[in-house]
Amino acid sequence: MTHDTNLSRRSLLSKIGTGMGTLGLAGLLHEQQMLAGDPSAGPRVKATASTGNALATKPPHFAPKAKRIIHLFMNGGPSQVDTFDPKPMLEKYHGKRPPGADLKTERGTGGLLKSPFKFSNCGESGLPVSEIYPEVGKCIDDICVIRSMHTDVPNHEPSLLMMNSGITQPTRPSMGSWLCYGLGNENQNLPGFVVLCPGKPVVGPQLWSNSFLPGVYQGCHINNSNMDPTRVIPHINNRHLDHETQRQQLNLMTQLNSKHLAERTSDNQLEARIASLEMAFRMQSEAQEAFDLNRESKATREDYGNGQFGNACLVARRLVERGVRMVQVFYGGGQPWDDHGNIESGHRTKGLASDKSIAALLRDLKSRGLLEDTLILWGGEFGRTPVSEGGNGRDHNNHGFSVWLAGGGVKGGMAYGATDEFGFAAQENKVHVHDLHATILHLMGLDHENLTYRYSGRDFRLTDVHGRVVNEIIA
Amino acid sequence: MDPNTLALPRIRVLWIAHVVLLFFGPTALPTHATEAEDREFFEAKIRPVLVEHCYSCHSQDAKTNNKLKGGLLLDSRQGLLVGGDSGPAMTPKIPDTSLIIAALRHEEFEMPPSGKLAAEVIENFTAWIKRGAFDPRTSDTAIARATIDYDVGRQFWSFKNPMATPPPRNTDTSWAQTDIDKFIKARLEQQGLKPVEQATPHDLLRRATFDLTGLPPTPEEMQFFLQAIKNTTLPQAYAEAISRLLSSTHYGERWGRHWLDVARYAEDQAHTFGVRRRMHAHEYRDWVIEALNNDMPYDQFIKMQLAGDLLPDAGSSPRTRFAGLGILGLGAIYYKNSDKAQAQADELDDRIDTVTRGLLGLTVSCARCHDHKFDPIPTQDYYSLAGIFHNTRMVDKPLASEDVVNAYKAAENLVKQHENAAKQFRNQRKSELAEMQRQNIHEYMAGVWQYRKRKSSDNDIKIKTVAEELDLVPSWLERWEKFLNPSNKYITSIASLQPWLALAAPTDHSETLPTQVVTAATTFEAHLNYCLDERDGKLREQTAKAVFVSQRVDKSRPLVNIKVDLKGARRLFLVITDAGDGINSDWGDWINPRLVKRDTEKSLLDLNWVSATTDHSTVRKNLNSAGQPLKVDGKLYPKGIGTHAYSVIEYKLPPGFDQFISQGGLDGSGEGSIEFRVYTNPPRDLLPNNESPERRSRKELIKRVFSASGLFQINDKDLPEQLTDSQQQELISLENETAAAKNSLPPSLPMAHVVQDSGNKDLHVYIRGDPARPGEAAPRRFLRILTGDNRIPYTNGSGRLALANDIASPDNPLTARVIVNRVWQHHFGRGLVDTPSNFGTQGSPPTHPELLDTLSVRFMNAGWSLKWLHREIMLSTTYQLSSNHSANAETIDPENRLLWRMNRRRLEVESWRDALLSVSGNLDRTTGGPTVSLDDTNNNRRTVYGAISRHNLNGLLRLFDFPDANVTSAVRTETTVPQQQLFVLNSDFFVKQAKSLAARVEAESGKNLETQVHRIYQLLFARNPDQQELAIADDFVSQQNPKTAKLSRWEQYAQVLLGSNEFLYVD
Repeated sequence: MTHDTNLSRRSLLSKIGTGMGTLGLAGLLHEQQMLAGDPSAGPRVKATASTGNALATKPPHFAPKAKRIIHLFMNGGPSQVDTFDPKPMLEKYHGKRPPGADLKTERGTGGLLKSPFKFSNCGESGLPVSEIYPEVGKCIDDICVIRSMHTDVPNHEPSLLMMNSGITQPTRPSMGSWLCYGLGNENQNLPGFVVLCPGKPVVGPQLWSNSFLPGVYQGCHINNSNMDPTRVIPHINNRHLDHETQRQQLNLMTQLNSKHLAERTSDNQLEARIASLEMAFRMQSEAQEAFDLNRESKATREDYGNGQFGNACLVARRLVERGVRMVQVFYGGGQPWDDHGNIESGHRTKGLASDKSIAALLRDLKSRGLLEDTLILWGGEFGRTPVSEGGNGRDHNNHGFSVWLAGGGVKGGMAYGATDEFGFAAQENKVHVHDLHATILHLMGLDHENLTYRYSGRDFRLTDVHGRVVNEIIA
Repeated sequence: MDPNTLALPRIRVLWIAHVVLLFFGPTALPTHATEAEDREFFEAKIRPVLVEHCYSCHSQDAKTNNKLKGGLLLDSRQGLLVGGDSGPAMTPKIPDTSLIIAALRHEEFEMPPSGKLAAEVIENFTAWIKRGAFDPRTSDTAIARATIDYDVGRQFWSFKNPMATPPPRNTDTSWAQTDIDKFIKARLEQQGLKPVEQATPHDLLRRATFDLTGLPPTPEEMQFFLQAIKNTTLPQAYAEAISRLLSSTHYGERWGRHWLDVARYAEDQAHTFGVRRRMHAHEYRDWVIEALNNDMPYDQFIKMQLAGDLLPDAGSSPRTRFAGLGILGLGAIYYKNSDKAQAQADELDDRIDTVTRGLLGLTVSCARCHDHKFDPIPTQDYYSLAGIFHNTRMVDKPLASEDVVNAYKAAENLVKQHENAAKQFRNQRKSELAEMQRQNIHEYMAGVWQYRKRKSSDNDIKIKTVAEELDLVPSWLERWEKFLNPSNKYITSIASLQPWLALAAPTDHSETLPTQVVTAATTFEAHLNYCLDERDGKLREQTAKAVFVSQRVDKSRPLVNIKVDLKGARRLFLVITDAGDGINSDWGDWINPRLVKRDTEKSLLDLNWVSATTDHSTVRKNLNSAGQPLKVDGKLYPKGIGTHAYSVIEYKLPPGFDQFISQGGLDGSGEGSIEFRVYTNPPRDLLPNNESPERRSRKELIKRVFSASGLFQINDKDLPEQLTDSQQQELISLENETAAAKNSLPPSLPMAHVVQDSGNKDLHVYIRGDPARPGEAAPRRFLRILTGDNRIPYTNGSGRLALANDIASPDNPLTARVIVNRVWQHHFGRGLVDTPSNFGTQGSPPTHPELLDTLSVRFMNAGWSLKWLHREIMLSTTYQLSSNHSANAETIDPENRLLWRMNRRRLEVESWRDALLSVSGNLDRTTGGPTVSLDDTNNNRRTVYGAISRHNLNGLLRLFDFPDANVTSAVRTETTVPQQQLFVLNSDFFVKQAKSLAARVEAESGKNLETQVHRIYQLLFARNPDQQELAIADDFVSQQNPKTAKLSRWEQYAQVLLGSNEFLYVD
C-alpha cells in the first residue's frame, strides 16, 4: 500500500488556522483533491441523509408564516374553565350534576365546581383571562385561544403521546422531530429540537423521540434543573485541554483524515465527518454561550423571573434567536398541572409562577421582531372536568380543553371554537390534536399530508390519516 | 375454509382491482311520493349540501386531484351505495344503518370535519334516505370496490417460489471464482462495468474480521495471516481465516446483534406507569448468540422463537425450548388504563409487525384497518394472525429442568417455613410483651402530655429525657408521641380518644397533670382493655340479630321494599352487606327511608345520624357515595341515602315512631350483589368477614397498639433479653434451623420472559381497526397469498406451532429469501433487495433476482446453514474487491448497486465501541449474563451486553443511530452530526480509551516514537505507517504541551487516531 500524495503536511498545517469555517474546509478539501492528482472527480454519489448533513435547512412546501416554535408545555393538564374559558353557568349551577356530566373521564366526579378565580376582560379585544394569568392577560391581543380542543383518552400517558407525536402509543416521531426532518435547522452548531424539562415528565423521552426518523432528529433533552452551560449538552465541554491545545489536536485529526480521504479520492461520508468535527469544535463554544444566561442583562432576567421556568423561557428565546427550529419548555418534571385535589391553590400557584415568564417571553420576542415568525404554543395534554373530584379538585378531561397560540402568523385577541355551557366538551368548531398539528405544520410552511416518511412499507405522517388546517385562526 | 375454492389449483398471479359494476338507477323509488316531489326534495335539500360540504374530499374531482378521502365518492348514487373503506355509505330506506347519517350525527365519523351541520340538515338527510334516497346523479365511470385477485397477485416475483438457475456465462471467464461472482459479473458486463482490483490482504482481513466478529484483527492475527499467505496461497489462507472467524464466539455476538435489531430486543417498555423491567431479558439475547454460534439451522431458529415450547423435536432442555420465545415474550406492552381494548389491539399489532416484516419481509400491519393497499393481504388475514397472538400470553418460565425447579421450590419453601416459624414465634412473644403493658397505657399518654408541656417552653427538650425522668421506655414514648398527633386522621376517628383530643394544648403554665388528662388517658386505656377482653372472649356476647333481612339485591332484582316494625326500639341500625359475592363494587341506596307513626311520617333525611360508616367513600344524603345522583335500575331518585357495602348507619329513634319504611336499591354504579338489614341493637350476628365496622375498628386498634409492629413494638435485636431462658433457647434453635435451610438453598433459578398458549378462540375483523366494531370472523390461519386458497385453519391451541411451520417452510417463497438478503446486506452494506423488511410491491425489486433465488434455494439445500451462507458470500471475488473508486464505473453506477467495488462502511456503534475497547486493551471478553449499563465509563463489556431500553435509550447508542427498540428495524440509518464528534473530542469514555491506548503502546513498544507509532498503526489500522505519517506524529508529539493540559501530547495523539476516519470506516 503506498501513500504517495503531493499533500505536504507543512502546507496543510499552514492552511488550517484557528476557527476555520466550513467554507474554508470545503475549499481546502477541494484543493487537496487537486493536489492529490485527481482533478476529474467525476459525478459525486448522490447526497443522501446518510452521507450529507441531515440538519441542513430544507425548503418548506410553501412560504411559512413561522420559522420556529416554542411550545410552553403545561404538562399534567391545566383546567380550561380556570384559565381561558370562563363558564358563568358553573357559578349558577355550582354543586349540581348536569345531564352531560356522564362523559367518561378517569375517575368518579361529583357536582359542578365553579371556578375559584375571577376572570377579567383584557386588552382591546376584551378576551377574558383568569386572575391567575394577569400578565399574560395584558398580552391577550397577541394571543389566539382555541377553546374547542379535544383528544382521545382521559389519561396522561396516551394524551401526552398524542399531543407530542400524534398517536397514543410510543411508536411514532414527535412533532419536533418531524419539523427538523422537514425543515432542517438554521444553525448548524446547535441541535434543531431542544427540550427543556427539569427531570423527566411522565412517559419520558418518547415525548421527544425520533422513533423511525434518523436519530439526529431526536429532541435534545436539557435537564434545566441545573442549567450549567458546560453540562447541558452531553460532552459539550472539554475538561482536559484548553481551547488552543484542543485546536491543535483537531488540526492533527483533520490532517490525518484529509490524508486518508485524499488516498480514497472522493467519498462524501468521509468529507461529511471531517466537516462535522469542525462543527463540533465550534458547537462547544456556541452552545455554551447560548445557554449562558449570565450574558443577559439583570433587567431582562428579572423580567423573566429568575426561577426555573423563567430561565427556561429565556433560554428558549436565546435558542430561537439562534435559529433552533423547536424549543419545548416543560413547566416541570412529572405532571405538575394535575390538580385532582384543590384546584384553587394548585392552579393559582402554577399560574402565577409561570405568568410573568410567559408574558416576558412574548414581550421580549415582540420587541426583537421575532414574534412575527416565532410561534408560541401554550397548553397541556388535555383539560380538566368542570365537575369536581373530591369536592375541590378536577379530573382529567379529554372532551374539551383550551390551548393558545401566539405570534407566527396567527390572529391575536381571538377565541376560536367553544365548549358547551359548562366547559365539559368541545362543541363549536372542534379542534382535535391532529388538527392542531396540521395547523402548526401549515404555519411552518409544511403541508401535513405531504410531510411523509416511508417506513415499514408505507408513508407515515404526524397527523396519520387525520388533520384539518384551522385556517380561521391564521392571520 | 371457503368450499368454493376447494377445487382451484394453486396458481400464482398478480393482483388487480376486481371491478364490481353497480347499476342502481333512479328506478328504485319509494311508492308514496311522486318522483317530482323526490326530485325537488333532492335538489333543494340534499344536493346543495353534498356539493358544499362533501365534494371537496369525496368526488371524482377530488380523486383526480389526489384529495379523495376514505375511498368514498359522494357525487353519484353508485358512490354512496358502494361506499368507501368502511363499507356502503347508505342503505336506502334505512337511515339508522346508513353510515352517512352516523357520520353527519358525529357518531361514527365526524363529518364534515369542520363541524357538525345544522340539526335540520341532518333531519333532511334522514328523511331523504327513509323515502328511498332518490338520486338522479349517475357516474360516468364504473365505481368499483377493490377486491384482491390472488391469481394475479401470485405473479409478483416474491410470491413465486425461488428457483435455482445455472449461473450465467461471463465474457471474461478468469474473474469469477464462485457462482455468486458469475451472476454479479454478468450484470457488470451487461452495463459495461469493470470491477476494481482485489482488496489488499490487510484490508481483506480487517474487513472480514469486523464483518464476522465486530472486532478489529490483532497485529498477531494479521501477522499470522500474512505468513500463511506466504506459506500457502492467498485463497487458502483467506478461507482458513474465514473458518477461524466463523468459529469464534464473537461471531454470535456480532450477528446476534443484527438479529436483535429485527427482534426489537429491549428490556423494558416505553411508557412510565406500571412498567416492570424484564430482569431476565438477557436470556433471549444469550440464546440468540448461542444459536448462531452453533449454526442452528435457520428454519429451526425461527420455529424455536415462535413455538419452541410446542415443538415436538425441540429437545428437553428448558433453556433450549423456552429461551428463544423471548421474541414474543419481550414484545411491547402498552398502557391500558383507559382504553384497554385499543392497547391490546396495538400489542397484537406489535407481534404481527415484528413477525411478518422480520421473518417474511411483508408489511402485514398495513392491513389492520383496510385491505393492504398494495399487496394481496386482506384485513381478514391480518386478524387471522392477530388471533394467534391473541391466544398467547406472556409468562415467566424457569429455564431449568423440572427436577431442578421442584428441588429449588422445595428448598425455598423450607426456608420460608423456617423463617415464618421464627417470625411467628417472635411476633407472639412481642405481642405478649406488649400486652403486659396494658395497664401502663395511661402512663405513656400522660408522658406525651408532659413532654408536650415541656416542649412548649423548651424547644430543645428531648423525648428521651422526659421518658427517663418518668421511668418510661423512650422508644415507646416516642411512638406514642407520634401516634397521638391530632393531625393523624386515624386518631381523630377513634371515639375513646375524643376526650384526649378535646384537651387544651399543654403550656408551660398547665398544672403538672390536670384531672382531664388523667381521665382522658384512663378512658382510652379502659377502651383498649375492653378491646382485648372482647378479643379473648371475656365479654358476654350480646347477640343482636337483625329484625329485617332483605332478599339478595343485584342487577336482576335491583330494588326491594323494606317495612320493619320498631315498637319499643330506641335505636335503629341500617346495614348493607355485600351479600358475600366477592365483588367489591357494592353500591347501595336507602331510597326514601322514613319513620311512621299512625298518620305521620318523618323522613330519615331530616334526622341526623349518630354514626354512618361505609367501606368505600362516604355515606351521603340524596347522592350516592361518589357524590352522583341516586340511580336505581336507570331511574333517578332525589331522596335517599347513598352508601357502599359494608355499611352501618345508626340513628337514635325519636319517640313514638313504630315503623320503618324504605326501599333498598343497587345503585347504578354498583356491579355486585348486596343485602339490606335492619337492627334495633348493635348488629352482632354477621359473619366474620361481614363483621361490624365497630368491631373491625377495635381489632385495628389492638393491632396498632399491641401487635408485634404496634406501639409497644420491640426490635428483633432487643427481644432476646426480654424473654425467659427457655424462650431464648427456643428462638435460637428456630434461627439456627432457618440459617441451615438457607445454606442448603441451591443457586437461584434462571428465568426467561416467554409466552404460552392461553386459549383457542378466533378473532373477528376489527372494522377500520376499531376493537369496538367487530366484523366478519377471521379464522386463525396463514396468509392466503403464501399458502394458496386451500388453507387449513389453525385449531390446535393458539396456532403458534402451525404458524411457525408455515413460516419456516421450504414452500414459503419469502422466508429463505428474506434472511439470505439480510445476510447479504450486512456483508455489503446493502441488500440485493434494498428494502430488507419489505418484499412487497412497494419494496425495491432485487438488483440480481436470479442470484437471490439461486442463493436462497442453495441455502435451504445446505440445511438453512447461515455459516454456509457466510462462506459462500465471503469466498466470492465480489466480496474481496477493494473499496477503491473508479471514475468510469462511478459514471455508470454511482451508487454501486451492481457491486463493481466493495462499499466502504462506517462501523456500527457496537463494533466501534468494542474496537475502541479492544485496541486500548480494556475489552472484557466475558460472554452472556445480565446487562450492564453503557452509561458507566468503566463498563468494558462488549456493547451487545449493554442495557437496551425502549423508555430511555442510552445516549451513546441513540447518538450513533442505534434503532428505536419499540419496533422491528430493517436497516440502520446513518447520520453524521457534530454531537457525535463531541463524544470523540470530550467524553470521559473516549479520553479513558486514549489514555489506556497510549499507556499500552508505551508499555509494549518502549520509548522510541517510531516503534510506538508503528505499534499504534498496527493495532488500530492493521498496517504500518508511511513516512509522512511518522513525520506527522513526530511533529505533533514533539510540540510543547501547555502546563494546564491534562493529557500528554502522546495521549492527545492516541485520541486523534482513535477518533480518526480510518479507525471508524472499513474499506
